[in-house]
Amino acid sequence: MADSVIDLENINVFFEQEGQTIKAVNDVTIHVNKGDIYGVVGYSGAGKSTLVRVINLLQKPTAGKVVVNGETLFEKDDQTNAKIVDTKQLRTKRRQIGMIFQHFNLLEERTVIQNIEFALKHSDQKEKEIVARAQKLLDLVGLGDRGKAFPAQLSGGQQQRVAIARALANDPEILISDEATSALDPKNTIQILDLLKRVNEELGLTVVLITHEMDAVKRIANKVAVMSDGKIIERGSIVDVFTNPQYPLTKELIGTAGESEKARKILATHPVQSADDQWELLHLTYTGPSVIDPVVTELYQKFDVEVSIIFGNVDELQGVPVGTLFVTMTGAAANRQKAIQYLHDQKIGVSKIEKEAAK
Amino acid sequence: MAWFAKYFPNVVTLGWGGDDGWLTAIGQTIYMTFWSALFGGILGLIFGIGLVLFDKGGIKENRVWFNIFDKVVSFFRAIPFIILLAFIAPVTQQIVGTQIGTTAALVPLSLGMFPFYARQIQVALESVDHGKIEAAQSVGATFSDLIFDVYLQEARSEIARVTTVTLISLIGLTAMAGAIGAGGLGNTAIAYGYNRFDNDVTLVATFLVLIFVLVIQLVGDFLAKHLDHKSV
Repeated sequence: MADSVIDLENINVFFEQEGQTIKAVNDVTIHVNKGDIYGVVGYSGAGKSTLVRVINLLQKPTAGKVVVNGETLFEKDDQTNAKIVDTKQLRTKRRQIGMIFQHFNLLEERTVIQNIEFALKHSDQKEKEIVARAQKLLDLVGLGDRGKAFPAQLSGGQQQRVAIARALANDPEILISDEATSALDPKNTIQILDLLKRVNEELGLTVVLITHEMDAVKRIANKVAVMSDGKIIERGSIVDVFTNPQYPLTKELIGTAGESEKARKILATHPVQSADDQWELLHLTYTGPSVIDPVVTELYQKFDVEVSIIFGNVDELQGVPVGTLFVTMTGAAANRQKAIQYLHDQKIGVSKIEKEAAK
Repeated sequence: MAWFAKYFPNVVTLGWGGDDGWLTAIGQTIYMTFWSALFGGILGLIFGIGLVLFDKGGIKENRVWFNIFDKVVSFFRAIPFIILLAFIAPVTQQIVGTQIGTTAALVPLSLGMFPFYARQIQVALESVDHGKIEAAQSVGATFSDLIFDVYLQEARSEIARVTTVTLISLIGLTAMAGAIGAGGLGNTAIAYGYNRFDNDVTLVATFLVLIFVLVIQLVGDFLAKHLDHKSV
């Protein structure tokens, strides 16, 4: 991979706790390319935060290989001794990997501008240049006039902006966001996400976005990996994963599970007037604008099946409109089969939804 | 001043200067408090910082060193001060050249206060959120940055608070140092007041100690408040 900036290979992070081995991260391999906004989603305890801390070695893995920008920072398999860059090099390398946190983690006994200057303490710039650079970063995050304030005087959203400015201080190529929006209200969440997107576009920064909120990933990421119990269970481009999720957990995170439930509820109050084996409940996903309308009509004409829409919505992923429809398809079983095949051929994702909720 | 001489005759008799004068006693208390606060303070800081660094999850996690620091602190804390004065005498002899007097008292005073201070510092530093350490590490902070710019700076108002408490208890210890001929206000209260049934001397000596404590408390509270920016 020529332009890959983060390569984590076969990473294990095990903790010994009361005689038990806890596999926080279990044989995870992940490659992040330059310019990606790579979302890592999963519930808390899935190992996301532990995994990303391996990138800048805040967490040393039990085994595996960590390569950042082609430079091997850590390498160890089960037999060999760990090879790890020396402390000084690691510090220099860490400055190339910015990181922001759920609780901002600003130094509270320093002013906002001093917080940013702290990150520049070991740069070769002169005092004056450091001050100017810190001010420039504050301007970038829209807090140019709050330099003398203490973090406690700022709102959560503003504090996170300062944290972003601090993380960007040393011109990093990578920015790791560890649940950075989880403690923020929806408005601030959107602002912070948009700021991350902006630095990704304007500064060419590669962003690794850890979150349990699918909406955050949906808004800015181009790739996503779903983590559960220390393993990555599903990964791919954001459009693929969203339109065609494979695992129940992914569906749950994306909200398909919840939407299926909603569809069933609507059906319960407005039952289908056909024999049970004459119809099925389908979840259709499609990308691109309004391809679905003619298809629905075509299905009726070509295969003699009746499609009625229960509900649907259109999201935008990566600038691509992605539509979701829950429909009932009524008709002879053979015809339905053909119709579904036809939908597949039209690049429309089809999955059958249970008519009754699983008990 | 006539009424003072009437009600506090023995206080006046002691006079300002001389071996048993008030200024001498005040000076000895200040001397003992200052130097043992300095030596014991440095020792306590080192041990307090060590306990946090070597502790589980600390940035230099090390069970052996943690246990050594922990046991040393616990050991010295367990010895009642009045016994420590006697117990440590041979060591004092080695360091100061004598076992009695104000300077000799600095050794047991420093050793008596440092474990208390170390525990207080430990608690103060543990109040620093580990996230701040991580954030500092993520921008490439060095070990000394973490100690001075993160731990000590972020905990500074807590440190001011615990230092106040420690200084006040140290003044309590200096009062006992009279037992090894160190002088000070505590000694005046006991030797010239209590033992001679001169209650006016005890009263004034106590009053002066209270002023010491009050001043330290006020300065400490002021610092703790003004060094704290964690809440608006």
